[in-house]
Amino acid sequence: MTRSTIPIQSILGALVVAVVGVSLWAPVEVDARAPTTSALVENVQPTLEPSFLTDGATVYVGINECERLISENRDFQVTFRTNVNIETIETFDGAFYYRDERGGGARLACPDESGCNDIPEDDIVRDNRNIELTVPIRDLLGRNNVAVCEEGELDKSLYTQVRIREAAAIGAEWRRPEARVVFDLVRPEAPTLTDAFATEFSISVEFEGSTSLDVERHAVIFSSESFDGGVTPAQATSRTPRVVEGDVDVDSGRVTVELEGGSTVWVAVAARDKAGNYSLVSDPMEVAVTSTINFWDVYRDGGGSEEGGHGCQVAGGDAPFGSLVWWLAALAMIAAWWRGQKTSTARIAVRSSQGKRKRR
Amino acid sequence: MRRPMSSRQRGKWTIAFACFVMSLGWGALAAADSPTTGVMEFKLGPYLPDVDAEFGGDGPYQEFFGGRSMTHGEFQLDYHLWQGFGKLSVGGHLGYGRVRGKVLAEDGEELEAGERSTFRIIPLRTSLIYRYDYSAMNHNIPLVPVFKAGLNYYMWRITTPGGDTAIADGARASGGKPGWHASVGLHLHLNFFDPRSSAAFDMSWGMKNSYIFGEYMWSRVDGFGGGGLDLSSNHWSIGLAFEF
Repeated sequence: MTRSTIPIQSILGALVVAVVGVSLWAPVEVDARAPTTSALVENVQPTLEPSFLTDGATVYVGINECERLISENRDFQVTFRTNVNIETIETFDGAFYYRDERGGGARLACPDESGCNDIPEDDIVRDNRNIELTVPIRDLLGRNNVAVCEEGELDKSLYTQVRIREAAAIGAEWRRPEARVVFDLVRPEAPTLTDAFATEFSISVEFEGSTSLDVERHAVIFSSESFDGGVTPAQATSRTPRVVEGDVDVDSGRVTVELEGGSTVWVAVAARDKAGNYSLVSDPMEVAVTSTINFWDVYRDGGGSEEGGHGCQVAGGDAPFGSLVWWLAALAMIAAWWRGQKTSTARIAVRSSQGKRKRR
Repeated sequence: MRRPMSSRQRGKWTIAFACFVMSLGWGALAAADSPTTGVMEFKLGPYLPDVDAEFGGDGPYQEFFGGRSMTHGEFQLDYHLWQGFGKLSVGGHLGYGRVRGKVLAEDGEELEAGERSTFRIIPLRTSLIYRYDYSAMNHNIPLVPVFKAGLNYYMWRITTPGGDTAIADGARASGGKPGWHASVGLHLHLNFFDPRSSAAFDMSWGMKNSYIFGEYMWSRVDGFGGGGLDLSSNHWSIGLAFEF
């Protein structure tokens, strides 16, 4: 009887193939790990001013807000509204914070794991069912230099966590609900503009969308003065970017603007991520603004004699709106006269019946 | 082969039929007996203003809107002045109509952008109204002819795709046009078909009589021959009326 053996090279080769295959197939964690929730917490309310967006238990901070937050050392505040009485030590065992790279996915069980930082008691307020934490943003971020805002490399999720449990009974499990601050200082990749068309009221664009995975929207950047691609929207023009409606997968859209017919406008597109960071703008296109004609133009050009305004005749613009007012006043007078007639008739009827009763 | 009905059977059927007819009439009589104050009407219908009459036929309205009618809705509130052989009322009307068309390039070509210019009107009317509901209330005939005539004032406005009032050669595209109207309608008295529900409606909402109706209106809204935009139209509408 012979024993069959599998060569070690085959096993190793299969393992390599499996690892590579899994790593290629597994989806990238784009939006980082969502903060842990717990049935013991009814509501988590984070506050950080300024910030770009607050979405549930997560606050998003982008490049625009970064400098001010760090230079002024603003505080991150979060209130956990629980459904347990957390004033006793048996149900509350501290508050903590830790940092994670976007896409890292780490979930620390504080205070037992390294990387956790204690939030001092002075910065924790507990009353009945609420736990309010206050953490200076420099401590949370671990950086106190505004230069980090200009490096374009910081992309972290910062978690604050409380350790609570439902009852004082021995063995009750500790829960760790969290709030999160996403510090995203990385601009997304720029999209590519492929076509643009402008009228006095809108700009229509077609584009190849940004390849960055955290892009939420695309926007149109336009100006009556020429600008170069590869700059920030704020550097390209003072006009506010106009967001294209629809989700990140759209590759065309139309935005509402006010332009002068016959003029020229420069149009580019940029991507925007969830933290409000715009990409550098695409290479712009020079577009002639097409003049349009509406129904009133067609009517007047066709020889229509209406001049607008209110009145019985074709108004030359100075016929008073008062002709309508006279109408309404006349109707009111007629209505008042009629009501008076009815009232008089009723009074005569009453007096007549009273007179008859007296005579009896 | 069926046997012919006996006189007793015929009598039973006659009594049953009479009871049925009287039960139908009970609701109508109940409505006729209770006092009424006025009527409110809600109606809808297409409205095609005669803008192109100024151009002798095909004109800017046809060119820009393709001859499409406005969708027009109107609310009317009447007050009975006299009730006897029918009802004579005075009423006020407030309506709204709108049509939209794609703006064109200067060479007249349609644009892919699909932006729209809007032409809207707000008709205001006062009417003298006569309703012949005497037969409906007393003879169980659930049809009520209604005749109206009165004066109009139509407020109109044309906007750009941006929502602003259009301006051409310094003339703003908004104004008002007086005129007159007359209409004839036929109302179907719904109490006739379901007196119990009608009685409940009366108790809950104070609506003594309900109707569904169709109406044809002739309106001349051209500033009494003053020229300019002609908002006249002959059009039909359908609606619901509630007498309270």
